[in-house]
Amino acid sequence: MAMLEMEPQAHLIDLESERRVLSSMLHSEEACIEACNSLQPRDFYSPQHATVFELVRSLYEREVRPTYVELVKEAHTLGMLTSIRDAEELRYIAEHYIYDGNIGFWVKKVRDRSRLRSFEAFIRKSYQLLQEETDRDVEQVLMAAEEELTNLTALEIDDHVDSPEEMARMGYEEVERRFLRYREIKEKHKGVIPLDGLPTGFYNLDKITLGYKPGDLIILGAQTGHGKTSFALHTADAVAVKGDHNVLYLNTEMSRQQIALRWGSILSGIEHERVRSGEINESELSQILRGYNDLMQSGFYSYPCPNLTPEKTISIARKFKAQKNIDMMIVDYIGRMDKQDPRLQEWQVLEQIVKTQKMLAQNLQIAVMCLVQLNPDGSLQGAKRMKNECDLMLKLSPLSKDDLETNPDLQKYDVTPNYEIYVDKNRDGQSGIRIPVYFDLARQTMKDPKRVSV
Amino acid sequence: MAPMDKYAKQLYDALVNLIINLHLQKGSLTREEMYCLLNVVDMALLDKEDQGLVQVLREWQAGEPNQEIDEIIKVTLLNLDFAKPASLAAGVETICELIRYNKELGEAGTTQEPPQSE
Repeated sequence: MAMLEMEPQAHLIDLESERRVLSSMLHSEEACIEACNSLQPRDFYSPQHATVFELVRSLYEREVRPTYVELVKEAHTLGMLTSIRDAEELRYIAEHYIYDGNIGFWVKKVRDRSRLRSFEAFIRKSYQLLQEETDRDVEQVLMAAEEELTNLTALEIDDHVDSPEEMARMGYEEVERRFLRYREIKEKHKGVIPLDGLPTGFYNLDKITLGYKPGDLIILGAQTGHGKTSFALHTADAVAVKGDHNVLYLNTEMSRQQIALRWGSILSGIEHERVRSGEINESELSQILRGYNDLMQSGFYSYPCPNLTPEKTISIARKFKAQKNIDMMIVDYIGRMDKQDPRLQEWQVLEQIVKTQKMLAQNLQIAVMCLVQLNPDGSLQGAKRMKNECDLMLKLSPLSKDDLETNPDLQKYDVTPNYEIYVDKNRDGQSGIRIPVYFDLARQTMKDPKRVSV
Repeated sequence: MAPMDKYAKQLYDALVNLIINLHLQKGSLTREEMYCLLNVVDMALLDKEDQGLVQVLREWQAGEPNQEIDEIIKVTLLNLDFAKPASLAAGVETICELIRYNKELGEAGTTQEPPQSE
């Protein structure tokens, strides 16, 4: 056993990189997000560094900005900063300054050393095994070693291969779950469908999609002025205000005040123009106050961000996942995101953004909705590539006068639909379906028109 | 958190280290005084929401010293809950009042009882 307890080789210990990561976490929120997301306390060789990392991470998760001051207060309160020597050690960590944009480099150094130390421990253990045990089943020994080595090479925990048994069991359980749910719908809920994911805010869309599910990338396309933001806020209303979930809303073109005012008319049902100009009576003011009370109790988090980049969406989403446990992120809209590389074509930028958002949805297990702008002819730049990446592609457009006059089906509703949602792609179900909706432009609200018998 | 350059980081860290040393090594600050000063450093250098406290503290420093009023301001500061905006706002109001009172005293050249803070 003596060999197992040996210190790792000196070049596998990089205390300086560990200090640089910790120092950067104390001075930059972006660095803190990156490190919290990529490292674990066990990645630090020094137990003291691991403790500092845990303290900073715990502050961050409790929504306390993890500054040097907050770290000192936390350590002092917990009795971990009682002598001048403790203070000197913290000071030494803090003064390992880096340019915060390089945090990825230092995080990688810490993680790589940690993985190599695990590899070294594996080799030592295997060597020890060879020396001590001679009569074990060779096949078993090699298989166990191979499994351990495979785990070391897997960077992410989701790197898992399903065996035929696992796949069959999972498939049967899924079908059985759906069978039982279908029976429940028929018997108990009288046809009302329980969702697999978050409510969309539209009955027919819920029926087709069974809701926005964790890991889903939803793309909604609409032309300028055709209700992208209204759709986004309608979704947020269904998920976070009427529903019991947390949503992060990133808006690239509206101010905080504009977003707040929009909610006033959405939640009160009073015309937006009147809310904006203040031309309301006292009873309407109370109605609006009631609406804002609902918003106050909701899980809607707004982040207006005029210079949004794909990288920034990653760090913001990670932060809100850690601190608010968001179930959905809405990006309104991706055409206004800053180009990181000016040499790229528009469609290449959009493709890059969409790929990033899909990865983000899967890694954080949240639904991500991206709003994109359609060309005046209704087409979408880079549409094919976007369609490949997303799980659900929707297009929102007004119904033409022709549609309204020639399609008698549109007359069979309590209010005449004036818009439609076209389900262009639906990975989990039917696509090519047109869902009529009513968009109340004056109130900036959307709803399902109800079928009536004529 | 706004990005800080190296100089700003050094300045911030030096201030924090100085305050810790004054408590741990020299014993010239109590635990409460250390916490209070650390909170002020975060507000002054990292633009944390301060309800106007940093500005009021600047005004206090620029004014005439008055042992009795200064002592009340210090006690007010030590009793602040820096994590609660309402507590901060109330503290700022009290300190403003005391500064104003001290200024009036200086202008009148008289000695009066300081106002009772709630």
